[in-house]
Amino acid sequence: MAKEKAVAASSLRKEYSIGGTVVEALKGVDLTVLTGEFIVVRGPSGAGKTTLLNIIGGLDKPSSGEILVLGHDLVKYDEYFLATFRCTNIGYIFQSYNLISTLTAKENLAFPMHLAGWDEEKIEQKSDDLLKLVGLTGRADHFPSQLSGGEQQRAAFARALANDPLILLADEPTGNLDLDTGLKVIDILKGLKRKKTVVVVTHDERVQRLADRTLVMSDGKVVSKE
Amino acid sequence: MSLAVCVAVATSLVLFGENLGVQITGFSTGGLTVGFSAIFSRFLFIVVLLSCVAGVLVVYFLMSAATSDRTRDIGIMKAVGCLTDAVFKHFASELLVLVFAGCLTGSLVGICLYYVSTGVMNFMGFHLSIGSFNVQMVLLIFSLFVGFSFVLGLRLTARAARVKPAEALTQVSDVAAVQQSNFKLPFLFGKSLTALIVFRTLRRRWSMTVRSITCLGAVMVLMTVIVVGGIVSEETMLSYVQRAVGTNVVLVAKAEMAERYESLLERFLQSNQSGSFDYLDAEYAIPSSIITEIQGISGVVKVDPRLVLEGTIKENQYIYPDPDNPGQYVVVGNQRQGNVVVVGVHAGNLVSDWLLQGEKISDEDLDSVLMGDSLAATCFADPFTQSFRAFNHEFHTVGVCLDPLNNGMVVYVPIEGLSSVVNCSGYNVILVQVDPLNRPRALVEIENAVSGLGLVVVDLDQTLNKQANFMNQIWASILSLSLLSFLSAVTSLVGFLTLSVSGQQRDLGIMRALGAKPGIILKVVVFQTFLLVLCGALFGLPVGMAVVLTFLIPEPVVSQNAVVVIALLISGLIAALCLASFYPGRKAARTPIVPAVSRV
Repeated sequence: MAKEKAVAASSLRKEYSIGGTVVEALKGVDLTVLTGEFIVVRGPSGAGKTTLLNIIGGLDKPSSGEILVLGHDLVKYDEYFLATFRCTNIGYIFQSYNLISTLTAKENLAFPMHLAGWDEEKIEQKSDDLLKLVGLTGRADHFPSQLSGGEQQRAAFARALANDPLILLADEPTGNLDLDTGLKVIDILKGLKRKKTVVVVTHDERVQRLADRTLVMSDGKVVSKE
Repeated sequence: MSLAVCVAVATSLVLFGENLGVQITGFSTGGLTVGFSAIFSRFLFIVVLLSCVAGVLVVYFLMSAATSDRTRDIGIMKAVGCLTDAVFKHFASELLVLVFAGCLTGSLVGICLYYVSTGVMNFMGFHLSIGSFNVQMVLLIFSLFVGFSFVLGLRLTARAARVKPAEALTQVSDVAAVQQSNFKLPFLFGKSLTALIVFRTLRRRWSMTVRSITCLGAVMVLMTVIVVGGIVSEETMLSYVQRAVGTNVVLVAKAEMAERYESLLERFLQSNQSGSFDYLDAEYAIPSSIITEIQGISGVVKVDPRLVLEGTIKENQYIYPDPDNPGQYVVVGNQRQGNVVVVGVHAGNLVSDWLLQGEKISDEDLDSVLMGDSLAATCFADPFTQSFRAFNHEFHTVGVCLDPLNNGMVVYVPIEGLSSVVNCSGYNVILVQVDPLNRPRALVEIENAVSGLGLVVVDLDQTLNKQANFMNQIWASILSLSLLSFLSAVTSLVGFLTLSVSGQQRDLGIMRALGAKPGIILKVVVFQTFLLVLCGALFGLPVGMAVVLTFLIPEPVVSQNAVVVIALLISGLIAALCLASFYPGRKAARTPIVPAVSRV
């Protein structure tokens, strides 16, 4: 049976205006990601990888083109729909962790579950499970500023999995990590293979080896598909 | 921008207040006793003083928030090798330009705002002068704000420039993570995530929270003084007028005498010059028999017969040995003299109850005098120790009253004492207080009783109403000041929230990236504002009340209606302040997510 398309993008263009200068971040990207596929996107800095990930995750809208994620045309929807869509379908691991500074590690994990309306008991249970998965049980009540970079990355990883999303988007998930922590993250990614649709922006060869496909981007375009 | 708004509001407030003050002085040349004018002046002085204090606090708070925002820049400069002195000079120069530009813009906008608000008031039916403004006052406010802002800014810059680069780059001092760890959400809020985030945010930015509460508290003090002070002062002054003239009081006298007495009462409202009048003319005398007859009428509560005269009084100097310089003497008074209205009364029958200081006159002490407030303030250094001469007789003051009769240039003397010194017994005016329930019938009976003697009955409640309207008009003008102070409150709050939300933009962006709907972001910001306004109000309302009761009206008269009006106004202002947070809240909820989460 043919797999469904989790992501289908065609002629995606994104322009930013920075100080009056128009910068083209994406220049007509076509992309299809099937359900359960593990895709790696790589390319030089400024190639448009993060912008592509933001558009797939519903954080940003393209200037033109079409983007269908799980069958939803994200261009057409308003912020209210996109908020619910992100909460229930997308797990996003940001390059700079992006933990909420006023919440503890455990509260950060619980935040998306609260938004999704889970009951307290279930949230408590799932938070503990995720903390255990990423090895942060002992650091549950620490604030982001009290965690190391690696711990913050693992907390962010756990949070991305909190609502059991269909699509996991990760922007350089091992980029700022030491060897050991990086291996832990890769282990978790391995465990997700075939269970979730994963799109990872990375330069890490260990992660690239997990990929079903690798897209190479340069200057706002997909220049090769491996 | 925020500094400009504060300077603009302070400038326009002071100019507008001064314009109202001029107008009040204009009123007072024709009317308003010294005692009443003193309450208005004190009110305006306190309002202007508090406006400046609140303005400076707002500026300090905004500058400290702005400096905190630049800490990272300072860290980067120091990390790449800039010396502390160079960093300080850089930011001091930047501060100087910002302070001057902000204050100059604020002064210009303030002048425009003053003209606009004066125009609006005139459009609404008031008569404020739209002439030239007081340039010295504008320069004074400009200098005050430039001076304070620059000095405070330099202090903050110097402190920020000393921060270690590592601390500045990580902003550890701002995060205050250790403080957060023991924090538990108050029981009242259960497990509300919004409440948790709000409380944690306020604690995380603790110094900013304290400063903003202080700033809001100062603005609340100002608002309380204007709203509560204005309403309580108005009620108290009206009460004094009512107690002086008396309620449900009619005047019985010969037509000319009655007209003269009314004219003396109306000198409170407007300056009126009237020609000489022979009060002791036998034509105006009232036979004693009619007093007994009126007393017998059903519904008459009190009969207060009076002998009204005009005369010259001369202040006596009071000389006593100087306790600090043996052999020397201290002279109190300047032998001033003036024309006053002298009223002979029976102390026990007075319809007026308007004592301000001292004690009531007594029929036993025939030389004792109760003096009007204007006379006490303009003709005497110390009316209680000094005596005065009138009709070649010595009198001494036992009390001072707030009295609109002859605009406070009046003395009340026991009638027997007065009769003996002017050599004329009898009365020329009777004030009759009637029971409001039997008023129509009592008035008819009084008219019937006096008509045969050629006397007229004049309802003094109409005069009282005129005086009440006059006071209301002045207070309405003054209370319009609250519009500008309210603008100042909203400005400071929106300024704080904009800075505060800007500092939280990343967290709010992350929350949205994770799926928080715009409504949740709005809820976080509005709830945060509510807590700050609540804390500001808890601090500002009692302090404002204390200022009102201590400095403005030590013996207030407050009706139940006034309490309800005050409660409604204060609640309305607090609600409006909370509503003001919708602007930064909506802005935060609409900021694109990607730039928000990318913010460092």
